[in-house]
Amino acid sequence: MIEQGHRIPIRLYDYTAQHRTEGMSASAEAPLPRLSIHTERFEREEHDLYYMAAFLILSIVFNTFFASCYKVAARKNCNLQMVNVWVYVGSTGTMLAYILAKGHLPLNPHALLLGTAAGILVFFATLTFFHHMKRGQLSASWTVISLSIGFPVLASIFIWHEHPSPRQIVGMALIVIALILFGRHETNQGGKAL
Amino acid sequence: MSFLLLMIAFSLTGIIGITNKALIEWGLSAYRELYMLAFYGTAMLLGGAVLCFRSQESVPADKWVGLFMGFSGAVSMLFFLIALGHMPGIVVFPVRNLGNLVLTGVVSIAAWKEHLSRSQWLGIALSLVAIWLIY
Repeated sequence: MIEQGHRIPIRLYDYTAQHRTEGMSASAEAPLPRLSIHTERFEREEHDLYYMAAFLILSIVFNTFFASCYKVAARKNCNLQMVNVWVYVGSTGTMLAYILAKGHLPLNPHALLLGTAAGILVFFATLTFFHHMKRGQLSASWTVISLSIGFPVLASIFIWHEHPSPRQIVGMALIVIALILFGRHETNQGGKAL
Repeated sequence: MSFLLLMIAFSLTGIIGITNKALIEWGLSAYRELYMLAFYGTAMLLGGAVLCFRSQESVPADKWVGLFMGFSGAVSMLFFLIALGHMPGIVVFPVRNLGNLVLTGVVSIAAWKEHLSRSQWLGIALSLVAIWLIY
């Protein structure tokens, strides 16, 4: 539990601050029993950890379906540009259905602009990946794409000031070496194909 | 050429990860649905515009594979953004990718009978160690 708590420092801080505030307001009337505060805090942390882990697992499962379909599309000799468009029709339809089910859509210009910019990027990212998949292997190619986590991880550190531990820094260095290993293999495969 | 395409997809995917993180860090989590609608809607319009200028042949599988991928991708991203809103980026991004790596590897070997080279196996092993260290 201590180890898990160490891994989610931001959430721990939030709960601590929240309870500190609750404790301050409550202390004006009557002192809160310290033991019950801690018990409740740990229960909430544990509950939140499992709750978020469930969302992550679901995200992984659905993303694996998504990744596997790249190879299905290539093997069925699908027109990759057509598939690419249908992907976004399906995603947009899914989001519209979700919004309709929720019953409201809060509006914000910054979120709209950010989403539009990301949409332009994802269109070209998917297109290039589809074309690459005609020659590449699913497992190798998807691993390289997975290593692009370096971008948001570095942004988290240098822009949003999250603090990685020394072992996390070593892990990030290993990602670069792994990418070079895959790159060498892919280059060789490309040379043979040409 | 194949490697160059992969590197372009790699870079763009990384930048998209940053926009996802920016959505959370800029306090726009409440507008997650709008962000995702703009995200997929823009890509759909771009794809439609390209098809208007270049006639394309199509097979029925295009539609069904694409729609299933679209559904899976949207649901996956929705869950991911919810998790990212409650946990640090330096944890969520690697954990999600570790899961994808393992599950996709299992599917590739079991369903597609793909064979990996020695350097690929080494790369996968290093990736697993790296992501474990980050987590």
